[in-house]
Amino acid sequence: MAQQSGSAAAAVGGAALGLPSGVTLAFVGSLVPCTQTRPGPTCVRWSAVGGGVLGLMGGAMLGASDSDQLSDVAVGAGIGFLAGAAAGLVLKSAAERFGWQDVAVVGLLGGSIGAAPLGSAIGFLGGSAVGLAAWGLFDSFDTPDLIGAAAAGMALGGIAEWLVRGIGAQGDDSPQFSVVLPLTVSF
Amino acid sequence: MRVGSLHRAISAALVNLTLAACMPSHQMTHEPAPGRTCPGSDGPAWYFPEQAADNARLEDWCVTVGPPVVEPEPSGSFFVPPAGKPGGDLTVWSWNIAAGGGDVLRFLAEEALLRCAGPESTLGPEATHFALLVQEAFRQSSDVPESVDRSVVPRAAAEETRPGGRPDIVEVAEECGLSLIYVAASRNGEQSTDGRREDRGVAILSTLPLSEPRFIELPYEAARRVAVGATVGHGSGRAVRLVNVHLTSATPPARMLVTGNGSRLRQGLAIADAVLQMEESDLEGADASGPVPSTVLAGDFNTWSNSETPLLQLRDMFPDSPPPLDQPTRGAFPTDHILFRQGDGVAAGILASSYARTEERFHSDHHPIGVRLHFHQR
Repeated sequence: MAQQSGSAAAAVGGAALGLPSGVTLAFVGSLVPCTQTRPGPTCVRWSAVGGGVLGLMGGAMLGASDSDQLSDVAVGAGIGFLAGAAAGLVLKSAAERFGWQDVAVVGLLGGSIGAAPLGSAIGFLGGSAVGLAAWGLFDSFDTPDLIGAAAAGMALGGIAEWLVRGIGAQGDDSPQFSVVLPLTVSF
Repeated sequence: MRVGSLHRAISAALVNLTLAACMPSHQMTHEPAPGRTCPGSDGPAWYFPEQAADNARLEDWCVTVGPPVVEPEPSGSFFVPPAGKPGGDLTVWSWNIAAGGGDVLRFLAEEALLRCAGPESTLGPEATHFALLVQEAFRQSSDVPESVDRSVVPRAAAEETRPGGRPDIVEVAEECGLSLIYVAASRNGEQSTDGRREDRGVAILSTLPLSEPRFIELPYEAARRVAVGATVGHGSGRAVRLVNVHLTSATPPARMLVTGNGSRLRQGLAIADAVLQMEESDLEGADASGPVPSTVLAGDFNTWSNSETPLLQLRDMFPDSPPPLDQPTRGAFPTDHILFRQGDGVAAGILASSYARTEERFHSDHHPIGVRLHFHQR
């Protein structure tokens, strides 16, 4: 994919996409660790602010330099939003007091993951692996901690993808985001 | 450079203040908000959230429930060494009975060693006086009103099928000769049985007289929740204040986003605020009643970890609490807890080694937990 030039409008668009994505990912990722500290909600909010700043920076840099890649990200966010909202609708039909605003929030989470799918997926797997190891090693590391580790990994991976894309788009002409998976295929 | 550091520090402080201000208030008051028609604004027994937004939602729920039940004197014949006096013991149990799922009568017989026979009820020779703090208690009564416009009627709680009858909390108290304070949080389904509708909430049952009933309507998070308080004592002494709590469980995502996942923290701090107000009124004002009694704060906190924020903060306020249980009480989660704070009145201490959960759930989805208090000379 050849790198396209960005624009100020695309930078604003990227920031507008990166900000909620970073906020939402950091919010979800910080829930379990933060709610085991005395500050609790304040810790969650600070994490969301941090995630939002990083998402905004990554999105703005990406939009300023590569509007094509930003378009791909926007499509991913849209698909993620629809998938999340569909999951939210299922929950709404099953759970009491699950309103339309809750459907929107689940959609927002889906969109945030959809905007940074590879980083989120790798982070989720990495967090799960670390969580499983800790779960096996430490008695005090319970099932919620395992879920929290996976969510935190997903958040870190997703936010890292925003930054990698943004910083990478500033550089040379080659695609900036690539991952080598350690797989062996046998026939 | 110094100016830059100062600027950064001020900016950080402003952001911090802004973030903290986003947390809705947990302050409580005796004064019902304008527009409240329930749950009764009579006297100092009730504590309400200060915020108008909470009160608007709570009103929609409380119009569907019946009035509190207060039967302060036990009718049973309980001849054991008196609790609240030096040498006396009191066992405090806390149990979420899943709105009729839990077999309370069998629990009382096997764990509290109580023989239920109405006014002839007796405690076994090895038993102590006890107080049972019940969450998800239910009451069937024609006092529970028909549902009205703009009211909220949640589904009836699902129960595990079990043998035996399903007496409501008033019938349990009558059958076992116990004192009772019950306050409903919500309706338990729309259906009525023989004209009797059901509500559910929290209750305190005891072999001792219960005095100074207090009702705390918690800040609205996902559903209306209430806490109930009462003082047990003997003769001239106010031995210990019991506060039975049931915090919110699952918070919808949008609410979680607003509170920073602080729903249970907000409700826990509201209860702590109400308890502090009770203690202030113990010491001053027209109805001052003497030294501050020790306080047991127990119930279903719906926590999934022993180090969840509301527990950490409440433990700071209840520094004489026993260490957390190392066993879960609902599924894999440590949802139920007993906290304790020594008061200025009758000396009471927790026997930490006695703090445990029962092995059996008695058909509820929660294990009962209990601890023994010992009253001694100062």
